[in-house]
Amino acid sequence: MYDILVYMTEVGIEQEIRLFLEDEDFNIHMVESFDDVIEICGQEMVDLVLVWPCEVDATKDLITLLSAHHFDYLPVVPIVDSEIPAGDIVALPVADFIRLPKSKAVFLKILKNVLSDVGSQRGTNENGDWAGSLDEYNVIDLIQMIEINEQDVELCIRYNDFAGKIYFKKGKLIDASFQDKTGMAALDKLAFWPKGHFQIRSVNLDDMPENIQRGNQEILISQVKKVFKIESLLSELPGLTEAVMRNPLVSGQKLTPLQKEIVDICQKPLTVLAVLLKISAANEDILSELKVLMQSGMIGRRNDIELLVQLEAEKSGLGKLIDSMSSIFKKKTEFDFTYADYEMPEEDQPRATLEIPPVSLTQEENGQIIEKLETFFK
Amino acid sequence: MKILETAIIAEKPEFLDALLSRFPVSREKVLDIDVYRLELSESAVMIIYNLDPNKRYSDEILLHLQPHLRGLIIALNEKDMQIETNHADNIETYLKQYPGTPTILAVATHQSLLAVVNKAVIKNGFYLDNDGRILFWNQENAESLKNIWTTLLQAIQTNQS
Repeated sequence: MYDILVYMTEVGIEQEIRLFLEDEDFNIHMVESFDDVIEICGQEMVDLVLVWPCEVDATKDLITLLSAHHFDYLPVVPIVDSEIPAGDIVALPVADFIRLPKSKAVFLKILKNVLSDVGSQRGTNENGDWAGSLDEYNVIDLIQMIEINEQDVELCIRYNDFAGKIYFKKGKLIDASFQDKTGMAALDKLAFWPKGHFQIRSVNLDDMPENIQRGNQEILISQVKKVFKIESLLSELPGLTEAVMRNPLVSGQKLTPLQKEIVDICQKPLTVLAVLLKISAANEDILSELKVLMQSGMIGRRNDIELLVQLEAEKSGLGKLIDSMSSIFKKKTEFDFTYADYEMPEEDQPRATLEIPPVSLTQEENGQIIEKLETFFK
Repeated sequence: MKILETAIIAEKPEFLDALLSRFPVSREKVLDIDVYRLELSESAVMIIYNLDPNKRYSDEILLHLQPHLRGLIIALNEKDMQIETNHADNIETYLKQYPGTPTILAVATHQSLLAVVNKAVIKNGFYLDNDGRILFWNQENAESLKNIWTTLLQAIQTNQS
């Protein structure tokens, strides 16, 4: 099965594209924005990017974008209509181009030839390098697979804009790097990714020092324990790829430094995985604090928060004011007082309740009261 | 005797003094809360609790008081529209629990500004809900003070009917 990403430069053409690409060998992702292109490329093991229909400038921009996000290895194939001169297309760094109109059978045949020519990103190439999706093989699987081959390789993994490397000397894990972290600290941030893709490349690591001195088995056991711990914490939280965000309707809570860091980066929706990767603290600590923040309502699932904000915006009148009264009444930070002498009932005693029926004033009484009030202001 | 229980939450003591300045009220203390009693007619009396933001009342007292309140005046300044209080949580709970309580948000405004505001706005304030309004007032402007109380009483009347 090939994963094909279709970047649509026009709206309302999904149906037409599906007619052409309906094939059991293809998994199709259709997007209309560059943001979505990068998101899909970061999460799926894309084999080919189609620009449909080709616009020369849009294709150029797409190639620049892919390059800027380190996806320049992805082959781009524009689908060209008869009006664009071939010269404009071949001048671009594209793997090939397909000119329409064509019958579906011919189109699919050409597309499969293109896929065969450019080579799938999956599987092993002639250098013994290997790439794939973390959906299929997670980092713990890959460590064991690399150990068996006993080669010097670097394992590069990527999820959206996050990327890290794990280095192996003759199959033994010797170091890892992720953002500003190295060694076990970096490995802890890389070992649990449920999404993304990997690439294993043969490299010469003769001069590389062994930053991680433990054996692979010891590392695997510790990482498996950490993954279990993360899974256990996640059982009460949204999934790693689920987006969470700060609830703008809740404020004024006293936060720990780590909670504050989480709240600050969740001003915009972020997946739980991205929260774990953006913050340098230990994953378990982040998840524990995230749980506290979710329980207090400070952070919530993206959909829930967006719905709450929408409902709040739709509220009108006093209801809206009532709910936002907490913004009028600012809590004092300190107070020096004592409670009044008020007899609290013992716990085992029934609480005294005072029943006062609501006052019911007649029209006449009300009139008298208003009249009386007015006399005070004369 | 019919008792109309209301409360004032005034950002500053002078706001409370101003709001009560025209009334021949007698002051009492109930459950550690300053209470003002105003005879409105032979058969009706208004009890005004001063929920002083600078004091801390026990939850028990406030929970006891809340179901009885028929109206609420929140007096605050126009600048930051905020009251610093020890019992913000209680008030928030109350407002959420009794959202239909007639409420006047009385915004203290400089007399010179009040003078240029449209008379209809001074009289009617801004509509918040069937039971709530924002009204602008100044302690030197008797009409604006009267307006707060008559609007509150009319809202209470509407609310009970």
